[in-house]
Amino acid sequence: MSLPSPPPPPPIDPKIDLTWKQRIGFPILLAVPILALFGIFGETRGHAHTTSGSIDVEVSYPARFRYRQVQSLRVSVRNLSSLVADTMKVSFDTAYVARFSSVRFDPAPKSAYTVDLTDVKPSESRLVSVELWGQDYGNHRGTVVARHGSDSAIVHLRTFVFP
Amino acid sequence: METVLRVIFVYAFVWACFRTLGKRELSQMAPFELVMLLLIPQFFSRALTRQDYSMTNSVVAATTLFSIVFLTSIGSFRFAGFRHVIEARPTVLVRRGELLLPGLRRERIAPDEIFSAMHKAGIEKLEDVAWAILESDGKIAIIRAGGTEVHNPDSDRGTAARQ
Repeated sequence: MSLPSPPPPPPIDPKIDLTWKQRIGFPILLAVPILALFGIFGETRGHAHTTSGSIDVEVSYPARFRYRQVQSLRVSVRNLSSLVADTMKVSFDTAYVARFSSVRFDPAPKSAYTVDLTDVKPSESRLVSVELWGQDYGNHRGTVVARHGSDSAIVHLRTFVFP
Repeated sequence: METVLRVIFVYAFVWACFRTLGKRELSQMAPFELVMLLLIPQFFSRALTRQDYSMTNSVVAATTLFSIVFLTSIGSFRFAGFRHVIEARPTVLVRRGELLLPGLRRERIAPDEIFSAMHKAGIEKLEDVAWAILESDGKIAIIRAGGTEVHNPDSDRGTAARQ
């Protein structure tokens, strides 16, 4: 008598039995994509706002991004006074900017990391944009200072670059 | 987050392609076929990295792939239905010395390839074969008539057919 197919293997209880290394390692392994799905390793932006005398400063900066990725730092400066501001200076912390490469300012800085905004009318907002390319990974802290006359508004930045 | 989803998509896509092609393509390939197979990572590498060459992205992608592989192996072991979806079922090619045409045609296996696998197993005549089975991994297992299983580590049908 011919059989339709060879004898099948005997059934067993399909209970999973992991080694202690797998019990430890697999949750760690699985945690990485799950955390990534929730955006833990993704790019996030931070926002800061401060006012000092005649200056209102709003900063949008990269809070987290990855190595060799490009992100922009945007500083919006507003003249709160009723007079035209001849020159408003926006300075970026040298130690902070130096942690990135291929840094591009718009408008271009007059001196090292200081942008001059001229003839800012009352209630007018000006935007300073800085393109940052993640070079050094780790936590980078710095400040953006906007000055007009005796008024100065300071905003603290903190950016983490993933390796 | 996007990296995780892209890896899952590529895994499912490649799996679907191989399931569509059948067991025959899983076996040892001719040089030309091997070169074709090596092109697949070239097609997907840029789509997966998206110019993000950070270590973080690579770790997320690798852990996602390892997690899928591990979860698939657990699911395959635990649930027979899932195993039958993920893995191809073996196909009987010869029964009691008789070539089974439906299996041969479905798997596109020529009688020459069966005979080549037989010769490697030290069997001369088809009547001496109890079973020839194309296994899930694309290899042909030969069982000698009389119940003696033939150990044939090189019974890969692709290799056998091209030598």
